[in-house]
Amino acid sequence: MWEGILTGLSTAFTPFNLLMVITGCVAGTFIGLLPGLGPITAIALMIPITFDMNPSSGLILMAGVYYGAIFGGSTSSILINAPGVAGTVATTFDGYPLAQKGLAGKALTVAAYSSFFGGTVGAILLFIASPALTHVATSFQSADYFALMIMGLTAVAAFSSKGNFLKSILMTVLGLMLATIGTDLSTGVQRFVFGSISLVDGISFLLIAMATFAIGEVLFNIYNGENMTKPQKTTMKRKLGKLRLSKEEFKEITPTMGRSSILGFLVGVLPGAGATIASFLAYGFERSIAPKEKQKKFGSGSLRGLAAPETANNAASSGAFVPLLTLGIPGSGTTAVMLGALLSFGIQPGPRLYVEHPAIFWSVIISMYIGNIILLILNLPLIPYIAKLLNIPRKYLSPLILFFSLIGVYLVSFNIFDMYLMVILALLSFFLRILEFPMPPLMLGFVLGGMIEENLRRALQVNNNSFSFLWERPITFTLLIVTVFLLTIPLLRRVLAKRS
Amino acid sequence: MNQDIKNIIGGCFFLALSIIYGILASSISLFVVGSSQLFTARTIPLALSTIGTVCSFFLILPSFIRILRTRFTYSHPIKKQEHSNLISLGKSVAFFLLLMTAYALLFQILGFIIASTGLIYAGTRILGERKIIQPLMISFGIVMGFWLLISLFLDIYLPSGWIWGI
Repeated sequence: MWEGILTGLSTAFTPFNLLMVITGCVAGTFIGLLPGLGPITAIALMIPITFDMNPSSGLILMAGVYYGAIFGGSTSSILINAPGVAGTVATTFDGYPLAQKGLAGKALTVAAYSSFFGGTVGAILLFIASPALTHVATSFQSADYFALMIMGLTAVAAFSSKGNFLKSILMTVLGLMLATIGTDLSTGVQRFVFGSISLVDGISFLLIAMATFAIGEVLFNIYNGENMTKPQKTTMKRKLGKLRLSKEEFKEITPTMGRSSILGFLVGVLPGAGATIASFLAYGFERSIAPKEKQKKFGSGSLRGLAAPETANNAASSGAFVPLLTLGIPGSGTTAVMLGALLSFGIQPGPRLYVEHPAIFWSVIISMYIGNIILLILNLPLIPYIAKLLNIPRKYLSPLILFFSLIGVYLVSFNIFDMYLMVILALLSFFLRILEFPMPPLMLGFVLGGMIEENLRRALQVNNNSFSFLWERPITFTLLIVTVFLLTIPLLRRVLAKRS
Repeated sequence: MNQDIKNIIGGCFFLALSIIYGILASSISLFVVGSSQLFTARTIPLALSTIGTVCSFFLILPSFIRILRTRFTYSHPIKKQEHSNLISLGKSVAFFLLLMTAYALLFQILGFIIASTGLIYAGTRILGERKIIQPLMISFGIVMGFWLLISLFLDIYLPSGWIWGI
């Protein structure tokens, strides 16, 4: 093993490969900033470029692009409330409110540190535990996945404060309803397509995210903007804020990053779960265990609320490499593209990869970590410049967000119908925002909806249409107990506080 | 707007949506083989419709009772000035929605560059920009930069507009 690691180190630290990581990080960050072009597209775009390279350099470039695109996605989520990929939806929950409060610089710094921390822990765990963790990945069944998704839904509780509980539930239901549109993959039955071919494949995540978050926000800002008094307008303009974190703030987010990185990595190891579930779970978990006064800040600009999903999605991205490198199973869309790239280099990932190609196996893992370091070194000084995006006058920024959202959605499907659908959903989102319905639960329901249905169906089929798997399977049962625990902690706290 | 009124409007919207969704869900056609199973393509939609109906009912009811108790008296009636402000703001939002629809309509006819430049420029006009040359140059510059990146550098197709081929 150590021989392989040394070979990997010497491969990763060649000047050309270091240049590849830097290039990948920079290119990935800019591609990730554009709505519609997430890590999958970014890596797919790199495949033709890497054809002439040796496998290690090609994969190192892709690893850099991967991390860069994730960070770029977080940046657009924080600054303009436009999550380009599902993994960064939870970042908007507290990242965007922080930017609105004039703390965009601080929010981006927290995102950079959290991403680095998550990536570091992820790379270390990948380094020491990948062969052992393959067992965890294979022991999860549909019933366990179903319980895990239900656990992910606990994040809804974060938006149920101040009498918003029913509104949050209704928005989750709306998200779940939107997820049922299209062909039911198990039975082939078409649902709610109204004879339209464009709806047969369902509605894309990006379309809903852009319509409800980015465009919804633009419309709502226009509606509110002219009502603003002068002092309010001044605060909106002064959005950069301080970049440095105080000691107290560091102290506050460090335990969060520790917990979220391990949780994120473990969820990332599970094929199909990935960064999205990891970020939602970490957010929900962190909110549940936060003290009462800190809990109130979640959803309105909490540093913990930002650090948790950011750390988790990066750690999960590393975790997703475990099933890919050790079993040859791609756990997410991005790792599926990576698998394609590996195969194009003539490398078959699987249990024998780190025996037959130790240089490739270890150099990819090592360069993923180097990518993290370079991303931090590159992005921290760039934050003031990136955050200047917010200084663009509203009358220019709003049409630009509109343009990038519309074109981003078009670039995914190349279908004009999606643009019309976006107008309808943006109108719906605007109407619901006026009525003070929270948007994040809608995304949560939409992202988890398909997976919940699919895994519940499979679990029932395996168990002869019996729900006994809920209490018979130890993993499922434990996850459900944790879910109940997470939901009841705030209630228990309230009861205890009343008694004391 | 009063919070209770917001709850009632929102609740009624979700109630109607859940009922319509439920009716549509019950008419989802099932294959003969799968129709006898416990879990079909209708199961989750019907469950969602039920949850939606129950929750929206519980959202409406307390607000409705509160409004009845206060006998429709509002502490902050909408002033005339506020009302006209709301109308003008609503107009800007409506213009933006129309602009998006027009963009979708003209995207393939005029092509990416002209339609997108028009979208950004018209957007700035709606939001109060009175200059002509500067916003037009900015819009065109951004669109051209994006086109160079996407179409030339990344080799992704963007429509050039069929009107120019006539």
